[in-house]
Order: sequence, then C-alpha cells, then structure tokens
Amino acid sequence: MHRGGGSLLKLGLSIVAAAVVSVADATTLIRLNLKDLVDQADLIFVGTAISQEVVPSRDGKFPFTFVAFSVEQVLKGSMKDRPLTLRLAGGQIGKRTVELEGMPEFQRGERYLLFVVQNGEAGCPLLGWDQGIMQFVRDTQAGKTIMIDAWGAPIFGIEGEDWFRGAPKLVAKPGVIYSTPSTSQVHDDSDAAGSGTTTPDKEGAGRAATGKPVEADRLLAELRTFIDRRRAKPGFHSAQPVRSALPSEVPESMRGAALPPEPEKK
Amino acid sequence: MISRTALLLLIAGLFLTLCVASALAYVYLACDGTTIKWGLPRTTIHPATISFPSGSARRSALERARDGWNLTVPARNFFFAFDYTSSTTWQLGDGVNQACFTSDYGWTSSELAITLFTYDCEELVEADVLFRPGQNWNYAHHPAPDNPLGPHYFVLVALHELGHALGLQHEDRWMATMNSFYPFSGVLGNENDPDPHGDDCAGDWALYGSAGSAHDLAVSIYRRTGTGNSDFIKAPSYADKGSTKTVTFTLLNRGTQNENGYTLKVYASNDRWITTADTLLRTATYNQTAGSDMRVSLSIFIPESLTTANYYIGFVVDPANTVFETAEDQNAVGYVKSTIIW
Repeated sequence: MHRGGGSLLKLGLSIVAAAVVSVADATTLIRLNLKDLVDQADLIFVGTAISQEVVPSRDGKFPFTFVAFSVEQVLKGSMKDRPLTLRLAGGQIGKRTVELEGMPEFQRGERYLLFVVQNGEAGCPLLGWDQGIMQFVRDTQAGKTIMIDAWGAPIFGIEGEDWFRGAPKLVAKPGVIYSTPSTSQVHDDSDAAGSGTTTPDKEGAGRAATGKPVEADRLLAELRTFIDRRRAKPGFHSAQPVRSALPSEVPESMRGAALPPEPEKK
Repeated sequence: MISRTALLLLIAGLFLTLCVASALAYVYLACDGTTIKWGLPRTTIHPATISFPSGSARRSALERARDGWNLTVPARNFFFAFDYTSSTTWQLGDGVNQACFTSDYGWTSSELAITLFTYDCEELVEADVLFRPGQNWNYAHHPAPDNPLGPHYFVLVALHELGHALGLQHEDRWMATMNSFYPFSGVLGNENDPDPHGDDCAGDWALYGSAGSAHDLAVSIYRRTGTGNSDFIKAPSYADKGSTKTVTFTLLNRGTQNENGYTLKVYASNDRWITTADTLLRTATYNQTAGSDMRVSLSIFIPESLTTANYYIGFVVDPANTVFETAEDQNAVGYVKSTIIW
C-alpha cells in the first residue's frame, strides 16, 4: 500500500478531509542492526496490511495515515487490539500525491514483519523507519517464500547481531524520480593508471553473492531464537501491550515549542 | 480519491521522466510530471533564535551547513537565506520555513532530525527543519572521521536536512550527503569539510540549473559500507619496505564537467596534513563523470629508501593545479591513523 496514487487507488482510500497541499517529511536516521531493532521495539509481529485511511490533524493541515494489519503471529510484546492499526505521520490529502521519504509504505494484502515503537505517538511507529519493516515475497525461481528489506535486499539469515542480506534492488516508489547512474559512478577498482572499468555498485557482491535467501518460516524461527537470547540481556526493552492508533485521536495541529539545546560541546 | 485517468497520466509522466533522465544521479519528487522544487531559486529559512542564539556554536554550525550548499556547490543557482526569528514556536502550515530544536515531535530512538515539507503539486511551499534535543550534539565545523558513532556532528545532520529543504530525497544507491544514514558519506579533504558530494551537486543543478560550468575535484577517505550507509576507511596498520599495499579512497568530481585524465598522487607523510612535499609513492590518472563519487583501490609500492617510522598515507588530486577549480582545499586527504613502515 504505497502512499502514492496507484496503491491508494487499489486500496479504496478513504479521504476524510480535503486540502490543496501535500505534506511530506524526510529524516536523518541512525543505522540500527537487528539487535537494536529487537531490543528497542515495543512489539514485533507478522501481519497483513488490510486497509488504509488518511486523516488530517484537526486544523486540516497535516495528514496522518492509519494502516490496519491483521495479526498472524507475535514475536515480541503483546497487543490490545486485533487487527492492529498503526499511525504514520504524513500522507495524501485531496487529489495530491504525497511521497513520504523514508517512511515505510504498505500494499494491501501483503505480509510484513514489523518492528513497532510508540504507536500513536511517534511520527513513524516503525523503528528506524524503513529499517523496521520486512516484506514476505514469493521467490518463484526457488519456489519458496522469502523476506526482503525495504531496499529490496533478500534476507539470507541472521549473522552475529544483524541480518545477513543479499544485494539490494531498487524498489521504485510512485512520485519519486530516480535518475540513472552515470557510467563511471561507484567504481570498485581502478588499479591501473587510467579510468578503470565501469562497474555497478558491488554491494552484495563477494560473500553475499554466494548466499541464498532463507525460507521465511525458517528465518522467523531463527528470529524467535535470537529474540529469546536477547531477552536476558541488558538493553532489552519490554513495553506495555500496544494498542491501535485511533483516527479520533489525531492532534489539533502539527506545531510545538522551539527549545534551547543542551549545553554545547566545542 | 485520485482518478484512474489522473493515475495513468501520473504513471506515464513518471515513465517518460525516467526515460529521459540525465546521466547524473539523484532523487527528487515529482507530481503529475512536475518536479517539486521551490518556485524561485532561493528560499528563506527562519531559524529560531532560542535554539540558535547569536554568537553560539550551534548557530555557527547551522550557518556552516548552509554555506556548504550556498558557497561550495560549484556553479550554483540556488541560494538559502537565513532570517532569524524570535518566535518560540514552530508550526506546519503557516507558510514559514522554520528551523529549531523541539521536543514536540514524535521522536523515536533512531531519529536525529526531520524536515517537514509541504507542496502543492507545483512547487514547495514550506519546509520546517526540526532537530531532536538531547543527542549529545557536537557543533564542530569539521567532523573527525574516526568518531562516526560518537557525538553526532550537528553540521553533517544540518547539511543533510537542508538538502531535503532544497527538494532532494534520500539517495541510497551510492555515496551522497543525501544518504539515509548518518554520517552521510562523511567529510572531504585535509580539513574534514562537511560539504555536498558529487551526486548532491548534480541534484542541485538538476532542480535549479547551473550558472555556467565549473570544475571541482575532491578526495575523501570515506567509503560506502551498505545501503545509504558509509564509514571512514582504515589505514593499513603496517607495510614492509619493498612490498606493495592496496589503498582505497574515494574521488569526487563535484564539477559540472566530466574530467578526463586528471592526476592523482599517493604520498607518505609525517603528519596527517598531506601535501605535494611529502614522499611520493604512486601516480595515477582517472576519468570521472561530472557530479559523481568514485571509489578507487590502488596498489602502492613501499620504497626501501623510506626511514622506518609511522607515516600517514594520503592522496592529492590534481597536484599540479592544472584543473582550474572552484575550490582547491579539498584536493588532499590522509588516513586518520598512521601506518608503520619498516
């Protein structure tokens, strides 16, 4: 359920109020590994996106997107409501297409593994934004269901404290223009004097190129074991049961106080 | 609800735009085929004085980030103006571009800052840049490469967020200031300058055009380590005289012109400040497309003539200054730690 036009059309988006502008946001993120995701998440669950609704703040200026998930299994934490509705800041109001940079997007009927934090309070209730979402897809060549991350990289397993991933594959989002790479971009080796050969980005090459996506159920079993091992470790966060975000609870407006920051370091 | 016709037009517009995309690379928004950007090649941001008091290091760092875009992108048309405001609140939808620290956003542990931007399918109409308090911010102008996970350098985060305020989106396919994850491909040159990378310069020109042509080469000791992620490259810990070692670094062409056959030299230096007076280890030449970063690995021969000691291995592009550049001060850089040569 991308929050661009096409997916919204498929969903039968409910527009609660209309406006003439679109709002998007873009953030600076800290990279999180799997340990961080597992430790910090309030809730980790597998679910299927079943509906989406965009509701503006009461002053009509800022949209919030509510996405409901049917819940298949819970790997960490608990929830008060099923289906569970997550609230994401931003969205589409009126006829305008909005793209939320870095904000996870969902397609109705698709299965996801989600790492949830501060639902109903956070701008993005997926921990680490796109880092907190994995999608289940069918690998027709291998004849099995696998998981991919938000950048299209298949998951090969868990290694140390992180996912073991394959090479990413651009997942184009509606309303976003991805220019094509220049022919000399991201050279990997130009040992001889001269321009060197033109090579594509080699992320995922080498060791990752020898890996294979793991069947999703096996990966979920690995993840359960990983979570169980983390439970006794310092830093493992346990939260109250997570409840659905309610459209009736949208804020009056998107505004706040400007603060002086903490004492400076020079 | 968007109509099916409008949807098809949108898809067609997107497809056509993708087909005619230039040879450069960057990511931006489009709406019904219209590029989303400011209507004029300038916009004014109103930082809150309470968050950025006059004379403070934090105001200075914010202005350094602004200058990273305004003053260092070669042949730039766009201009960020700052007009400080005494307002102690921010609000989305008031048509005022604000910048401040605030607790009144739903921050989570992985976020450092956010830019909320509003557009009406023709142009950007508002961009509010919010910074998260309590992040152990460091306001130095020249971030040390060997501390990427220590204090967060505000200037790097502000540079990235101002890129969003410009109209650029995350670019995670290669090195860029617009990478999703801190430290955004890092800093440039001997002075650790926090300036936009080649791809970001290309994105700036794509949105707002360039004022003629300009050349600008630079070198960095950062490398891409994953999707939208980067880290600095560690120096070899030791090297035997008479042996060869492979060194890796990143070359930047921040200019509007493709560069053909420019020179790079590798040196061994007694300090991290690399110059052409240091001991030459290798010379190579490269071609590079305008607006790009290029990761290079190069083998170097360690001469027997070097005295046994610790050396900083470093790189100088265009050492003879044969390319007339917008700035020459990012043409040399050394690894953070020294290499024992024996």
